[in-house]
Order: sequence, then structure tokens, then C-alpha cells
Amino acid sequence: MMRTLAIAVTLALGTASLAAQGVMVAPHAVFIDHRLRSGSVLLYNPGTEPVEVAISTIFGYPTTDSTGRIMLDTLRRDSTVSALGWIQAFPRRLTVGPRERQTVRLLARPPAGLPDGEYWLRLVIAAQAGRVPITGVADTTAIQVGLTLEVRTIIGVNYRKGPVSTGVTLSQVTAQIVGDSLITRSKLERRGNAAFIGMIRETLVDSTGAVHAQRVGDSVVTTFASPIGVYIAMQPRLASAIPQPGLPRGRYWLRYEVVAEREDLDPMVVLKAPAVRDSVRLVVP
Amino acid sequence: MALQLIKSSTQNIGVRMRSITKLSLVVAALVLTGTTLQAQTNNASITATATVQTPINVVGAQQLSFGNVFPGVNKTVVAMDLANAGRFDISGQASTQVTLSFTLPATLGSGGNTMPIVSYAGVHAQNSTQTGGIGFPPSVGVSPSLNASGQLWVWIGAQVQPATNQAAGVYTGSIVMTVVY
Repeated sequence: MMRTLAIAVTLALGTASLAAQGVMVAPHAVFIDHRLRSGSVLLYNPGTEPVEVAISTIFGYPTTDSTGRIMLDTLRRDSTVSALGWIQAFPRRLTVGPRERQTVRLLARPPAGLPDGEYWLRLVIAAQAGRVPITGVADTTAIQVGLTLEVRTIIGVNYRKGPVSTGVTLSQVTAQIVGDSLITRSKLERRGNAAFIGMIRETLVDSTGAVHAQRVGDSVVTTFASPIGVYIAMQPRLASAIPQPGLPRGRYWLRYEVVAEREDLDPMVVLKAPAVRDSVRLVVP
Repeated sequence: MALQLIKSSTQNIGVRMRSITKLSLVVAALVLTGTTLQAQTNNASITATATVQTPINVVGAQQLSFGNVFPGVNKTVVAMDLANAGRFDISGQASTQVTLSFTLPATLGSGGNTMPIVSYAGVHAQNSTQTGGIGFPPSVGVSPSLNASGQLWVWIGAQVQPATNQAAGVYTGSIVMTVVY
């Protein structure tokens, strides 16, 4: 598996940025089966300088704050769903040379009698590129200022033992137009014994059923889709823009659905679950 | 011998490869899940499927550059300064919301000497020109979304405050950006 992954990375070299410094991390979510008890993450340095990498683990899962902003809850370290104490990453420190790849292995030693279910931790990949060039003119001030850039990427690790199932409930869907943006909130609560990994899809239709486009960055889409991971519960706030000249006066419906689909993950690790849907009315005065 | 992809897999690969081309980065795991070799008169075929894993790539793309610094003269680089603000580039799955937090030095050091660095400001945008960019305080953090191509740009500005008797030297520090994916 890793061999073929490495071959693919080699194929990708032509499109990787050479100017920036950091490491590429793949996959961006690790799923470990109890029968295998191991996983791996590939690090690739597309840059021209060696990158020093430190690997650590923390417990945490995504949730939302009062404004709907997604955040990582790292407080309940003694949670019964924590795998922090028995999944370790090797090596803990490594240097990834220019255009080189390294593998970080995750080894699990679960406690005896571990109940069936899903257990979580987060992998922290701290990458420090070479010191950035010093700026300033020494012959006029002799004061030079330089800043080292470091990035820490935190990805999820989900360990599954025995039968696992998931699902999600949807409630309290709200939508409003604020300026040129469509802002939505909803309440999502997980069901089953594993995190719900899926997508939120939003489609805006008018009273005739015609779909109105939304803008995401420089792209215009008919359905706004955002990946989501519901580990316990959350109330995410999503925002998309309404392309100019905006919406004409009238009544609209926002179709909101949460589906267990992810094109960025291996379909084998995305647990099946029924889609949930709701619609809310919007009025543009 | 001909290599034939399962039709559905071919479609998936096509879609994903297109999106990854947009990202200008890719890690593809090619897994031969089954092979079928058939003895035929003129050709044979094998079946292959592929799983494409979208990576996350977070890089420090541009240094926070203060240029010439003189004793007693504060120097500011605003986050909107495309040429001099520090810039981080993030690539990943389209429209994914990420949580960004920062560890920002209060002082830069040179041996036993220090120089204050204050007034950090940030901008995140779904394009590299900051069109539609949103300002944020780096000390608080922010949770923007990657654009429809899976990209996000983040700029950081700040002010250094050299004292009038600031000792000569090379002053350094580290800005750390943490991305929760």
C-alpha cells in the first residue's frame, strides 16, 4: 500500500509547488481497524529546503462554539472514547529532505477488553522549514529582523473496533441573507457509536423551483457543499455568497441536507448512514 | 495487452484528478484490488481500481518582511501588503472549514537583546489577491473555509518597535500557525 502510495507521490511531483516550505500530509484523516492495529501517514516535502518535523498526539474532536465556528475540543482527555493512551506515532522527530517523502506509522496497543466502538485522537504534525532569509540592510542600521515560519497540521485518527454505526439528526435549521452572504446554522447530533463523516449540502431555490447559484471564492456553484464531521454534536455556521446582482425580492427555500458521502476519503472508511434533510424559507424584502 | 479501468472507477478517477489538478498537488494511492488476465488471441485485459487520497498541504509561503529597520522608528507591515506580509497557503478538500490558531512572539531576540513585535493583524481570502478577504485578529484565531478548488490564503502583518538605543544584531522569532483539519 505504502509502496504504491509512494509511486503516486512521485507522479505528483510535477505539479507540486517548489517555492513554499512545509510538508504535504496524506491522508488527511486516518482510520485504523482493530484487526490491523496500525496505520500510516505520508509526509512529502515539495520544497527546496529540508523540513524538520515533530510528531505528537493529542485528544480532541471537532465541535462548535457559540458562533458556530468549528473548533477542536481538547479538554476531555479522560474521555472513554480517547485513544490517546494507546496509539503511538513513530518516529516522533524526522527530517524530510527536499522532494523526499517519509512515512509516520501509527501503532495501537488497545487495552484488553476494549468495548466495541470508535476511539479518537489527533495527530499533530509540526513542520519547521529552514530559517527565512534575514531582511534589513546591515550597512545602514546593523539591525536585521527575521521570522521563522512554522506550521502545525492537526488531523484526525479514528480507531474502530467491532461493529460500528453512525447517523445524524438535523434540527434548528436557520438561514438568512446578510449583505451578499447566505448564512446558515443547524444543530447536528450524532447517533450510533462512531463519528458521522459526511457533507452538508445547501441549495437555494425560488418559488418557481429554479435554483439560484451561490459563490464560493471565485467559483459559482448551484449547490454549496461543505465537508463535516459530527463526533458528538455541533451547530455549524456556514456562509456562501450570493453572486451579483443579488437575489430579487421574493420568497426562497433553502434545501439543507446532510449526507454520509465524502469524495476526499476512501469510500471504505465512510460509514453508511441515512441522509437527513430539511428546508427553511427565506424572504428577500 | 490492454489496461482497462472499470467504468465507474474511471469516472471517479477523472473527477478527482481534475480537482487535484486544480489544487496543483496530489497524492494518489493506486491499489490494484483485483486483476483478471485472460488468454485471448490478440489481447488481454486487467481490471484496476484506484483510490485517490486528497492531502492537506500547509506551507509558509512568504516571509513577513520588514525591510530596513532603524533604531527608534517603528516599522509596520500590514496584512494587506501582498508583497511583504507573511503568507501561509493551505490546500485540501474543497469547501472544508479549517480552524486556524497562531502562536505569535511578543518579542524578537538577538542574543540577550530583544525587540518588541506587536499589533498582529491577519487576512484570509479564497484567492491569492485578497479579493473579498476578511480581516481577523491572529491572537484569537479564525475558522475560514477552503474555496471550491480547496485553497485558502492567509496573511499576517505586524509592527516591530526598535528602541532608539536598539543594539545591533540579528533579531529572530517564530510565527506558528496551527491548522485543525
